[in-house]
Amino acid sequence: MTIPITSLQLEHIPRPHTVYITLFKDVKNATFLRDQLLAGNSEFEYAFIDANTIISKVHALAAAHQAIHNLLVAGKLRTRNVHSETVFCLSPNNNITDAFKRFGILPTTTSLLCIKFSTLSAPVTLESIKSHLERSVEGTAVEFTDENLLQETVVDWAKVAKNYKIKSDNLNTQSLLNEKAIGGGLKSLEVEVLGKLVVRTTG
Amino acid sequence: MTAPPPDPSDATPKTLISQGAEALVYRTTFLVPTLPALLKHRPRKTYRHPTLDARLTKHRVLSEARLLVRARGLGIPVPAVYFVDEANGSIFMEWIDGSSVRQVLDAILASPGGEGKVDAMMVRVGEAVGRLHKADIVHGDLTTSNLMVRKVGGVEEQEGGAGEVVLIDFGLGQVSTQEEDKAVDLYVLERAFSSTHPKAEKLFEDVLSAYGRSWKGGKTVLRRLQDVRMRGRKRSMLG
Repeated sequence: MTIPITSLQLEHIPRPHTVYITLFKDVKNATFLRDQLLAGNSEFEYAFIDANTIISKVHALAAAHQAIHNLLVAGKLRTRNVHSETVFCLSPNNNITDAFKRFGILPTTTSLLCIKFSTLSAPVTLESIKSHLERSVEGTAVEFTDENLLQETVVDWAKVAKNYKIKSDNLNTQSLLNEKAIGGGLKSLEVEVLGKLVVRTTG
Repeated sequence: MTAPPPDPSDATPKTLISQGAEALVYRTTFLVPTLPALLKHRPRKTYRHPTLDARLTKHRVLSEARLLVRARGLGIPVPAVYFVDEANGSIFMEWIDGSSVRQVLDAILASPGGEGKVDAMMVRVGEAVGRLHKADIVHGDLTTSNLMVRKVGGVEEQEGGAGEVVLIDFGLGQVSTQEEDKAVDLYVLERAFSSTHPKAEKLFEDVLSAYGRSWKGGKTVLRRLQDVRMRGRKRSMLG
């Protein structure tokens, strides 16, 4: 089985970097993966994110962007590495433990978003990630798209509302799906969430 | 003067759309090429001591971003902030598709009898400023160019249009509970209106009445505006 991996380069970040992203549903070995992270196993240096908390591609990419920015600007990294920083950057507050509880992989996680960076100092190839993830994650890989985030891995709207303190009347799934159907531009809820992510940087 | 790009290693295309004394404003994209964004970059001022320059830039960028985030959180129509790079002096924010109130007025008032067509827009301007002041945020440079009207379904503001009025450029904004500061905001806006177009002066009455209705303290600020009109924006420092 070959798994679909999205590779892209983020805007406004110096070129020799790539972000590799894969989305898994029906993950069965979340406990194992989490234990590897906790043990500091460097082979498992990924940002493992609970995909239920992610509303769209842009949402995940915004955190990745902030993390790689923190990596490149000396002294800004608040956590161990750029991958853990990505999970931390999803959080609207400064509590690292809290960020991992809310957005990181938990033993109960079944939908998993894996993000891996290739940077100048730590280059990795698409093939190596692909074979490693194929061997390590027991689950069904789906393509990293807005549609799959909404439908295949399912968004937990109550959790999103709680994490970002958004009033639940702004969180109507159906209206979001409708907005998607209309297409174009960034949707109101995404804009709200991105706004919450910068709260931490501005203090 | 040709301005250097914010970051020489940054390959993302951007087009300069506006330039002021403090900042350069670009239209660009954020994260992915399909997401339009506005980049406000404050270039280094080489005539200042580097340490001082870094501190001033950082302070201004953060205070502007904080005001935008605060206003947005309260539901006041302002652009959302996407990303702040305070060391480099740049803010990425939501791209507002539309035109400034100034451009809309110029276009509509040029035609005879155009005044009647912008009444609804004037009410929305008054309400937007009212909501801002209710939250104790003072804009500091409220002009018709700093008010945007969002396009609705890809159509520019026109007769009886319903485009949302968005407040932009909080570079001179501050948090203040003082009626004086809020009245000065309105005074500056009034002067901007009357210099935009001779017909626009009358329209400002609609803005003020909508403002007065929009929040509890509105009436007191309007009374204070009378005083400000008598003496101008600056308080007399004599006696």
